[in-house]
Amino acid sequence: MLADAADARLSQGLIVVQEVSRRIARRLGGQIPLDDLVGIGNLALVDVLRDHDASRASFASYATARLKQAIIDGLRRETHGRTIASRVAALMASERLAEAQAEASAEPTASIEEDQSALARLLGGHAAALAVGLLTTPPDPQVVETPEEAVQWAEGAHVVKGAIAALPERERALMERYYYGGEGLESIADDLGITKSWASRLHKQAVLTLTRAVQGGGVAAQGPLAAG
Amino acid sequence: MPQRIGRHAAVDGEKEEVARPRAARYSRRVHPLLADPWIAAQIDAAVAPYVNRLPPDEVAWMREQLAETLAEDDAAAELLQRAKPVHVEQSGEVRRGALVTPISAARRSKRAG
Repeated sequence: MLADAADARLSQGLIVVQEVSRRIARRLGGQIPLDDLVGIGNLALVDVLRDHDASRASFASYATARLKQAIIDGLRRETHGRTIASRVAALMASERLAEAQAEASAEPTASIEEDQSALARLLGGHAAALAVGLLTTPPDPQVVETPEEAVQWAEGAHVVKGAIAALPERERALMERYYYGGEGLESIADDLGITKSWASRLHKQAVLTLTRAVQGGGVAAQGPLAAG
Repeated sequence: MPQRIGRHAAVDGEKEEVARPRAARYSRRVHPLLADPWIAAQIDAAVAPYVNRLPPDEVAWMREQLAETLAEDDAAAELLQRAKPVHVEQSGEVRRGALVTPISAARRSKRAG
């Protein structure tokens, strides 16, 4: 009976791996072979099956969230230094923001205007997170085609770097090593003497802080990126 | 704003330049949600600060990603449903919330199944 349940969960997990991989492949414009993503996902599935706690979340939602994170994280390491890396980093930052937002209690709203404001904040936050992720890596030369675009990218990258430098010590170390150094979260956590889950929380907090800095011009010395 | 050679229409007195096609490195698609003018306007407003800060290809990609977030993230999808302005059905019924899109219909059917 237990073996049947385990088999069923494994089958379900393999389906989730396929779904999440297809979604990420689509978001990256078909630049990464689906099989590569499925390979990363299948490896991560072992941990997902081991760690799932049925009393806390359904397997499908838990596996989807964990596998999405694991595949993007694995992809980020494998693509470090490659041209697609900026979009992978952008997706990672956006996913972290989504997780941070999901953990924050959503205030019930009384009017459609408040919902519209909340939607604008959500979209603005994700746009900023994507921009932060993009600008932590060198641009794809086929996307940045003109000297003017290269200068704009460099200016934006400078702003993001300044915002990261202004983070609290551990968040700064984590973000610099993770985004600029291409290191994995686990090895950074080991070096910092914290658990991987705590490192993950620091990462989310840092992304949240950076998106606010980018949106609100919190790095005013360099000029707010969001000033247009 | 500085002019970008090869991509902007010629102004008076300037020789018209032929638009240079950008490399098609990434496959391009338009997310179905972007066909909705109201949703597209919300997404355009979110990416507006980056229009002259990032290359057009990356801004276009960001638009796609925001649409994907609205379609795939449960909390975002629910917020969109609540935030979409009231519209009037042909029957005269006034309704608050998003129009049923192929994506929202697919999500509901997936949840039900």
